Amino acid sequence: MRFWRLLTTSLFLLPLLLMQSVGHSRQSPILVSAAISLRRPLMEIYQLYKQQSKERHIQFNFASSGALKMQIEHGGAVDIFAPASPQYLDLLEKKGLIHLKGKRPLAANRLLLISTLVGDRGKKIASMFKGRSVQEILLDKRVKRIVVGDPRTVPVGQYAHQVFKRLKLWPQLQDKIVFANNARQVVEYLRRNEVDLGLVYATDWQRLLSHLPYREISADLYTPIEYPIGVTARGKRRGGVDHFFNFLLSPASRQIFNRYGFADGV
Amino acid sequence: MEYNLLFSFKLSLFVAGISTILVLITGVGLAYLLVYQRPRGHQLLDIALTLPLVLPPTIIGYYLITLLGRNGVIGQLVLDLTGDSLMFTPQAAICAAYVVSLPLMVKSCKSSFESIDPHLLAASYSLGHNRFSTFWRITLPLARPGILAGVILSFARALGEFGATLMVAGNIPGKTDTVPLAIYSLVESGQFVRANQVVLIYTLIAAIFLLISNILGGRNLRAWKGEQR
Amino acid sequence: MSRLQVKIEKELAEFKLAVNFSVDSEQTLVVIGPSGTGKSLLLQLLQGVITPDHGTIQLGERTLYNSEQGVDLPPYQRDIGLLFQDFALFPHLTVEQNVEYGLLGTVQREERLQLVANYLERFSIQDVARRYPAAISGGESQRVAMARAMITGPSLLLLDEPVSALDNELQQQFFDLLREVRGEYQIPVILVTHDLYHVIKVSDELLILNRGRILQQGSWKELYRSPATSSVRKILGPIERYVEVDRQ
Repeated sequence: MRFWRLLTTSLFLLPLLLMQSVGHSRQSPILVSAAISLRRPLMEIYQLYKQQSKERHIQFNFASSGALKMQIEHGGAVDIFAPASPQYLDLLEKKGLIHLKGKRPLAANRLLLISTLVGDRGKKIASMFKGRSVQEILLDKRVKRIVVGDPRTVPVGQYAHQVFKRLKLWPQLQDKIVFANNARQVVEYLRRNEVDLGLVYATDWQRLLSHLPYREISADLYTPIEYPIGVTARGKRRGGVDHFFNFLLSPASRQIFNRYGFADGV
Repeated sequence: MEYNLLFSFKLSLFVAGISTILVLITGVGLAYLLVYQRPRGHQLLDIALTLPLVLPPTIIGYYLITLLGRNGVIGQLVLDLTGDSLMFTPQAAICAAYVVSLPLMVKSCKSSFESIDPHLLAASYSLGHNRFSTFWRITLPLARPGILAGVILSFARALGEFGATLMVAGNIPGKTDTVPLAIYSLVESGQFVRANQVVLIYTLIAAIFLLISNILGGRNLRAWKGEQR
Repeated sequence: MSRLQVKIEKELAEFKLAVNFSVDSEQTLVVIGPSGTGKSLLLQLLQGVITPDHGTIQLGERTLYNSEQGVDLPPYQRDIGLLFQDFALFPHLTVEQNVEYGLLGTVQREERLQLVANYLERFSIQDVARRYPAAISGGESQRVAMARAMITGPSLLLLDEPVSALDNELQQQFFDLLREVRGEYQIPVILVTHDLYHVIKVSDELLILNRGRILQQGSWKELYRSPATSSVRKILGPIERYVEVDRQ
C-alpha cells in the first residue's frame, strides 16, 4: 500500500522535477521565424555565427509559412521572418508589420527534372538527359509516367504546370502525368521508382534523391522560386537584429545554402 | 547537433504532466458542476467544453493565439504581470495541451458521476454526511475508474498534441519543440530513420505510463467485485 | 417520542401533490397507491432532497420544514433513516465500514468501534464484517442496511419499496427483521409499496395515495370494511388472500 502511494505521488511530482531543466532564460533573445524547409541551412549558419561573434542568443521558430504569418499578425514577438514564398512577407508589409524596404532575397530554389534508373528503359531515358531537350525527353515514347505536385494545392505543382504550359505540352502529357499531394510525396514516388520522371525542387533532390540523375530546366520556363527575408517592425527597434540579418545574407551563409541545394537569391 | 532530443522528451513529459494535473483538478470540478449543480446555462458550458474535441487543432491554435497573444485577454494579463509574452513559451504549450485534453477528462468524469446510483448519495445524506463529505467519501471513490481513465486519456492526448502547440508555442528548438514537433521537423527534412526511432521511444514511454496507470486503477476494482483476500 | 406531522403541497407536471397526515411514534404507516402517483416523491420530500412548494414537516420537537418561517433543513440534518429496495450499500466499503458510516465525525473512535461491534452482533452480521457488499447474500444485505440505518438512532424510518424485487423468502425475512426492529425502537416508520402482500401484517395504518391526494387513511380493517371510494377498494387489492378478513 505504501509503495503504491509513493509511486502515485512521485508520478505527480515528476513534471515539477523536469521543470528545472526546462526553465527559460531571462534575457529576451532574437526570434527568427522561418519556413521549415530552411531549417537545416539556418541551423548550420547559426553555428557559424556563434563561433564568429559573441552576439546575443538567437532562437528559431520553424513551421509552415501560413502559421508563421498568423503568429506575427497576432502580436507574436518575432524579429526576423523568412517564409517560403514572397507573398507572406508582402501581406505583412501591407499591414505595417514588416519593415518597409527591408526585404531581401535570402535564397532561391530551382526546378529539376529527375529520372529514376529502373531497368533498361530507365537507363535509356536517363541517357537522353545529356543530349536532348526537355521537350523531347518528356514526349519520348518510353516515358510512361511523370509525377508532379498537384497544381491545385501545392506550389511545386504550380511551377511544374507553368513549365508544361510554356512548353505547350500540357494536353499531350495528360496521359502520362501523375499528381502527388505535396513535394514530399513527389520525392517518395521517385524514390520508390513508381514513375519514370518527376519534377522536384533542387533542394529536395539534394537531400533525398542525389543518387538519381537530374536535368536542369530553363529558368525562363517558370516564375522564380524566391525565399525572401525581412525584419519585422518590432525587430527593427531591437539591438543585434540587423547584425544577424546581414550575416544571413553574407557570402558565408550563401555558401551554406548552396550546399543544401539552394540557389542564390536574386 | 541541430536536435536536442533529450530536451524534447523532457519538455513533452513536463508539458503533458503539468497539463494533466491541471486538467485533473479543474476537470473533476467542472464535471461535478455539470452533473450535480446544473447552474443556468450549463448546456452552453457543456458544449463549449466539448468543442475542442471536434475542432481541428489548427483552429484551436488560432483561437488560442487570439486569447494568449499580446492583444488577447489572457496575453495582456500575463504581459502586465510578468513583463513577458505568453506566446512562444513552454507555458503556452501547457495551455494548448490543457485545452485539447480537458474535454476528455470532463466527459469521462461526467459519465462516471452519472453512473453512480443516486440511492447511495441519498443514503449518505440520511446518515448525516453533507455534500462535501458525501462527495469525498462516496462519489469520488466510486468514480475513481472513470477519473483514472480521464487522466490516462488526457495525458496521452497532451503527449501527442501538435497543431495547437505549434501555433501558440511555436517550434523553437531548445525551448518549445516537444517530441511531436521534433518528429515533424525530422520528417520535413527527410530524416525518416531518426523520426522512426523517436516515435518508437516515445510510444514506449507512453505505454509505460499507461501500464502503471492501469495497475494503479485495477487494484481496488477487484476487491469490491467480490474477490476476497 | 417523535410524532411526525406532515402538511405539504407540491405542484408537478401531471398532478398536484397535497397531503396532510401524521404518524405516531410507535406506528408503522404503509403508503400504497398505483405507480407514479407520488409515493416515492413523498419520501423524497420528507428526506429533504426535494423541496415542497409550501407547508410544514414536523418531527417531534424539530421543525424539518416550514415555508412560512423559512425553515428547510438539508437532508443530512434531518436525522431520518433510509432503506431502499436495492439496499444501497456502499460497494467500496466493507460491511463493517458501511455500518460505521453514520457515526463518522460525530462519535469518537473508541465508542464508535464499540457501537459497531454491538450492532454487528445484534443483526447477526459479525461474520461478514470484513466482506464487501458484493460478496454477501441478500438476507445479509438486508440486515446490513438495517444496522447501518438504525445505528445512528434516527427519529424516523423511511422504507422505499423495500421488497418489491425480492423473492418470497427474502421478503419474509425482511418483515421478520422489521418486526424485530419495530419492537425495539419507538419511532414512526413509513413504508411505501405497491403490493400489500406481507406488508399488510406489519402495518398499523394504511394511507391510500392516488394522483397526489390521500384517498383514505386508516387500519386495513377499516379500509376494507368501509372504503371511501371505489378506487380505494381497487388499490387495496385482494387482501383477503393475505389476512383473515372475516374476523370482526
